[in-house]
Amino acid sequence: MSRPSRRRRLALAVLLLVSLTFFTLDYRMSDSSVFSGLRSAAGSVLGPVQRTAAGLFAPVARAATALTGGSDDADRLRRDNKRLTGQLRAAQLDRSTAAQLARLRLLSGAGSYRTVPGRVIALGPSAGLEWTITIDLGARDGVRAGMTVVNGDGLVGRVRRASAYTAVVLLAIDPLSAVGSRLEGSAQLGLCKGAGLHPLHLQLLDPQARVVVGDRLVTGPYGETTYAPGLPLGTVSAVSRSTGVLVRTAEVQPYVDFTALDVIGVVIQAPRTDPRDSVLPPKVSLAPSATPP
Amino acid sequence: MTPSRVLLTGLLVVSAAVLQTVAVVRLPLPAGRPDLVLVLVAAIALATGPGGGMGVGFAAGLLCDLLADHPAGMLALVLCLVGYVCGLVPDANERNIFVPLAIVVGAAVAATAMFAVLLALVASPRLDWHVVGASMPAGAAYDVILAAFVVPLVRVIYPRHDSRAR
Repeated sequence: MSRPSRRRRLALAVLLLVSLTFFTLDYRMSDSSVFSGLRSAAGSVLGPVQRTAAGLFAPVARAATALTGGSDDADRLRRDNKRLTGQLRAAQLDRSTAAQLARLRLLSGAGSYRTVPGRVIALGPSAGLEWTITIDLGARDGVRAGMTVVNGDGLVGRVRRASAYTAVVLLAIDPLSAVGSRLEGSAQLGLCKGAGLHPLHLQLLDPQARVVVGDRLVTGPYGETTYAPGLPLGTVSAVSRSTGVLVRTAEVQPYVDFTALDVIGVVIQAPRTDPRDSVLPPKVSLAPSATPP
Repeated sequence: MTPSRVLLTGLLVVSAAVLQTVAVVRLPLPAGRPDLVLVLVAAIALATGPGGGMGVGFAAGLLCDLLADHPAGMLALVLCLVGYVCGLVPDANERNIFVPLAIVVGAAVAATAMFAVLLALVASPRLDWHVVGASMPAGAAYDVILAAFVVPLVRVIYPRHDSRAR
């Protein structure tokens, strides 16, 4: 503490200036070389750590439920009870994973997408503003930036960047995400923009297009970035009635539950022909994806 | 700081960043999330002073920036300032535990506000003042609970030999 405080203030000024410079540079040249290099380096080094840590947490949580106590008879029974409950819970977890995988396979088969299954290992650090996930698939598994990410219910997002063992995915509900989409049974195209936990915001190209509540949407051949076509996106939950607006807008409730993502798949290869509406679930009930996990 | 102390600090920061993304943000908590990295930076600043605070804050912030999806430098700037200001409080750790906890509340609120202002500066479509306002009180409350464990732990790791030299 004997250093002159003027020197310290100078050091602070330098650090602040450096961060502001980084901020400006990275913002201006969003996908530039220096920072994408640094990012992939950080991902390559910390990705395996994140994977291991994520793998550690599930068994720790399971073991915590099966912690044992003393040694007399009542205690032994209580301990057995706890152990068995723990095993049951673990079995249920495995079954949930199996069910999610089966649904993912069903969706991949329905549209002939070639998908690689994986798991969510981390979320973006500031959940609430930034809707990204980190998955346990990377360049080693054939994952590249720009690939479409799905789960058994439909579209999840797009790979933002991939390091060797992990990849960061921009979710469809992130405000930076805009998904080209098509109304079921028609050729009406639009753009679905993310709005966090609010419904997606759909802008239709044709202001005369007819949209009603309950219409279903799939990914379509339109947008700044291409997604694999034909993936279930969501159902229209509200239509704006404002007149005099050049674009028709509606709210879309996505099929995927973005707050409970677990098993996902990366579409390594999209089908050669657009599967159109064939991947959408059969139109029985209006409630979107009411099946329990 | 000795080299071994620097190494230990780096290890702490990396573990905090990994734990934050893998475990803390996935906790099923209502309204907001605790920020382990911010609490650690504040605790180290309280124990080592403004110089250590700003250095650790800058490094930890830059690491979180690179793992996240916003322009690099945002959290580096925010946490560097947080570390410097927290370190300025004279002998905070010599007083009772409530002084450092109050400082962590201030740091949490200031950090969230600064992050939002930086997003506003570049007119980011991600900025949602409702989300910012709603997550601020809950986040600060969770941070205080974390700090009640992290601050004493960090105080043990970084004994302040020269607390009288002033």
